[in-house]
Amino acid sequence: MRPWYKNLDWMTVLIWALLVCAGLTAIYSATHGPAREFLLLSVQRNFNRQLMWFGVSAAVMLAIILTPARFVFKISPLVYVFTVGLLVAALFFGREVNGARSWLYIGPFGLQVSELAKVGTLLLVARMLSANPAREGKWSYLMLAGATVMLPAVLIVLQNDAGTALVFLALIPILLFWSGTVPLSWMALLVAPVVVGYLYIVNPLVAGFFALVFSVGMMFVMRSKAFGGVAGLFSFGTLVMVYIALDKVLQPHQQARIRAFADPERYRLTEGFHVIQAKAAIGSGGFLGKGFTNGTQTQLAYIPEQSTDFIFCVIGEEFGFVGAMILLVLFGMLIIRVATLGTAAGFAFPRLFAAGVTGIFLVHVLINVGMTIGLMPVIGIPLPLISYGGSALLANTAMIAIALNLHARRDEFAIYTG
Amino acid sequence: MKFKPAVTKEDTRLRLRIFSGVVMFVMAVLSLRLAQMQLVDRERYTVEAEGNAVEEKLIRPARGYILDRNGELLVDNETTLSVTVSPRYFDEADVPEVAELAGLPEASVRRRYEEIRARSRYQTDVLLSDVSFPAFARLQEAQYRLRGIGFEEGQRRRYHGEARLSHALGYVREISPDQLAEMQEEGYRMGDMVGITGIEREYETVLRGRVGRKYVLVNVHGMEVQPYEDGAYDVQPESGFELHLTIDAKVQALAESLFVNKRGGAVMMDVRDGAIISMVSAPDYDLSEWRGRLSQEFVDYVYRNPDRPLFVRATQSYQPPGSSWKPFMALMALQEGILTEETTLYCGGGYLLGGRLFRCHGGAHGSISVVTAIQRSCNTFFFRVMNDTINGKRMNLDTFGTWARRFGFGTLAPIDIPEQHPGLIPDSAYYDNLYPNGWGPGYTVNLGIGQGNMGVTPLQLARYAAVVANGGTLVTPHLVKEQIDPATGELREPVFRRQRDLPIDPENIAIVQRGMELVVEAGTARRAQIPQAGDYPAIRVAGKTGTSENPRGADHSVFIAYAPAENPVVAVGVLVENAGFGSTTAAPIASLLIEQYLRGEIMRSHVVSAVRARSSARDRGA
Repeated sequence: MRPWYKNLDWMTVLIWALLVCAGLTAIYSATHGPAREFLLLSVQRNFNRQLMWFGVSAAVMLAIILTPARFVFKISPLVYVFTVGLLVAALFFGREVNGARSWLYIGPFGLQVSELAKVGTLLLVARMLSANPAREGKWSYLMLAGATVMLPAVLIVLQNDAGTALVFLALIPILLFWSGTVPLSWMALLVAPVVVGYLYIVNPLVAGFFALVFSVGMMFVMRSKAFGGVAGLFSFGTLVMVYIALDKVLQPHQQARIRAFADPERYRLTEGFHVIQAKAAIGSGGFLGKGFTNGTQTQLAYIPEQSTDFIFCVIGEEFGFVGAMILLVLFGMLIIRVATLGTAAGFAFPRLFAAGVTGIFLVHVLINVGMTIGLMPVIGIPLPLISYGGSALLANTAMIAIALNLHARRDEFAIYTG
Repeated sequence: MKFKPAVTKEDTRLRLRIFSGVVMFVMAVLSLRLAQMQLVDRERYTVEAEGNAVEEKLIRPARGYILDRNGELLVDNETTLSVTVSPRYFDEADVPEVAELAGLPEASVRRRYEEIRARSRYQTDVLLSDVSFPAFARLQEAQYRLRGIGFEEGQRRRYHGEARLSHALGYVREISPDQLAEMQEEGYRMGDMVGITGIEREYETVLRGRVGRKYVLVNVHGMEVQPYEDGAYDVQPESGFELHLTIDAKVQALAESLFVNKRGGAVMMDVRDGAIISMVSAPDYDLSEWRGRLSQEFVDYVYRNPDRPLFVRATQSYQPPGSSWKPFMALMALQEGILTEETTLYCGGGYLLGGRLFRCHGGAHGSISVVTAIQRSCNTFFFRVMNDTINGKRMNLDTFGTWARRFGFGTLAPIDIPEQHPGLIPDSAYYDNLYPNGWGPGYTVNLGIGQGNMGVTPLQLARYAAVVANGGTLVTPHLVKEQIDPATGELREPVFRRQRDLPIDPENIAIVQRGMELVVEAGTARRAQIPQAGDYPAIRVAGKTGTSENPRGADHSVFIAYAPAENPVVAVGVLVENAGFGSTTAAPIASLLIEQYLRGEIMRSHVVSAVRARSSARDRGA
């Protein structure tokens, strides 16, 4: 039996550190380059604060790794209750930032509690899904696990931060996939709504065509009319739901954002502005980029939120295709590596926790990078470890640290078989 | 129903593989898109990014200053504040707020914005020029939320000194959309100032200078950040030329003060080269009122006042010259051989033509020669010159017209002022048209005494007086002495049409000159005498009064003069509307202008007071 510290995956720690450093570099350029004179003083300080959070996160990572795995497992309900409790508190005592009431201030110290809730939620759901009732496929228990995810999601929607809530919802199919309670073929049915919804925004006709092909295709592949029927229900149902959501449920400004995604040029000065400027920044970066603190789009402040949600533009513009690719490769390695670590011991809890962490990272990278290059509508969620934001850095680091901990101390898990 | 937990080692491995596949698929999609943007379509996005950042800014040159003949500053510039707009950043929904902050009607701001937008989406243009400081401060405070709104300095004309020179200088306004459509190729842009009348218009290209250009990097708020490529493509503006006028500001100020409460015009020029020393037109207006949005009071005055202040009476108002015409008649008749110095004609108090008596004023003059006829302004004498066969020769309308045009009547002078009227010198076609049933000598005989169907402007009168004074040369009147490049000191003298020597014998000129000297010495214009005063010797003035008959009301007072008689320097033409005899108002005005110019001061303040006390009467029902 190897001691835990010999099992620690230093590769993951290295990738984590590289990503955080890339983020610090980009934040430095966006706040301390020539652009600084157009920025509010509070934004200029972003770099120094992120540097401080880097230190805090590293300390937290170390602390978590030093914690016995069993203790982590045990306190997971407590962490959930605590972080969800913070969400509720933010609703009442929170401060509104960019329209979302998701900040809780303790003195000058601000916490974006929705980020912390990810850690608690993930811990509890992984624990529930690795318990026997779930593994036996008890529907009621699965529903309870679903409710565990939905509760913080609803609270976050109430805080008016739909983007982060969406990430929570994305956890459900990801965890279902990994928990093994649902056959793989059924997972395909869950993919359909995502694709149909996306295509509908781009072009409703294409979405309809895809729904038809998908339903008929599933029927033939599964050799079951019933399965084809369910597939049709899922895909066409989504079509109708998205139609209703876009035209009836969403606020006019949200509808405009969706339309701007489909046709940014038409909304050049309003909703399309972000996307056009972001694309111009990245596209003009070319192969090698314009150089550190030399990007005109970045330094002339054409990109809104460039140290937070649109940080990828800084990298794309100043470090070009090469820089952007290095970043994507690092993310790909981190995600696959952490997921692999989760499966190493053959236990459900670490596997499901790692699945949740990597799922969240994947969704964040896809949506965040996707929106800066015009593949996704503008949904304001940060790029993990890169975007400015202390709470997010802390939460993301903590999640990686827990996954590392569960992997390194897998031998301590002997009693939880499976 | 229960699902079977399907998490064997193999199953987990499969799921990990599927998940890794999804991760790689997502990364591949993002990478392909990045490759397409950064490697394939890079050019397109670079254009977009540079179009964002690099902006061409025009630097308006300083408009040339204007000085008088003695170097006294008349016009320079002062800085104004302008609000600019970049249509590609500006949200039209902000128009009401901009209008409110600027204190302007929303409709006018919107119209202006639409004009700018229609011209170019990418060009920053002046939305509001010459805004007041409070409005500027309000807009600047709100700039952070009014995207695409910027500020720049503009300039407006600033006027100095006592002389208003309204009509000679002319006014400057922001270029109108119609003018812009015409002048865009010359590099004019919205918000540019352009001369509308007078010298400002005539010398627009000289005064304007050359527009400079600079290329700057601008940030998302349209704020200038730094020069593009260290200013490698920038072009410096070149200030407009300084104009040194022939106008004497002191004489001009006096002339304007003498014309208060009067309507009319006067021109005084150097008889040797036609340099205009003073050009006054009354009523006039305050040039500095032409700025920003005109006050309603000013608009009413300038456009609706029945006396028409914009009308340049000095060069556009034409009236019969009255008896001031007689020296011209005399010169023409002498030159044509109709008269000689010795020829005497009899005046019995009038001239009978076709049963109608054309009266002479001042009773019967008896048998008089041409010199006396001028001195005493005998009408009969000049009726006969116009109509009778004398010395075997007779005047006809063609000869009359030819000579009149030689003297510059009935034509536009090649002067550097755009506003002019040629006046009226009739020919037979004119009478055929006016009297289709036939006309005879009775219709044209009045022309002999400068009445009837003819009209001359004060400018033409002064030029004509100069011909008599300088011995028969038709000078070219002009307002600009020289143009100086303020940067290099380079001097340019405008090229005017060469002056013309008229076919007049010196002895005939001398006869008429003697007549005009006697008019002032012992004739109808004794009020124009400038006696010895203090250390100044007397100035001998030669002149001729005129009373322009006005069928609609009081006659117009006319006077032409030159001085000093023995060695003429200046000539004057004065017309005061509805002010009676030429001797009462026009003559003293002319003599005061001559005194001011030749002596540099006025020694006869009682004459000034007397002239100021007179005013133009109203036309009956006009």
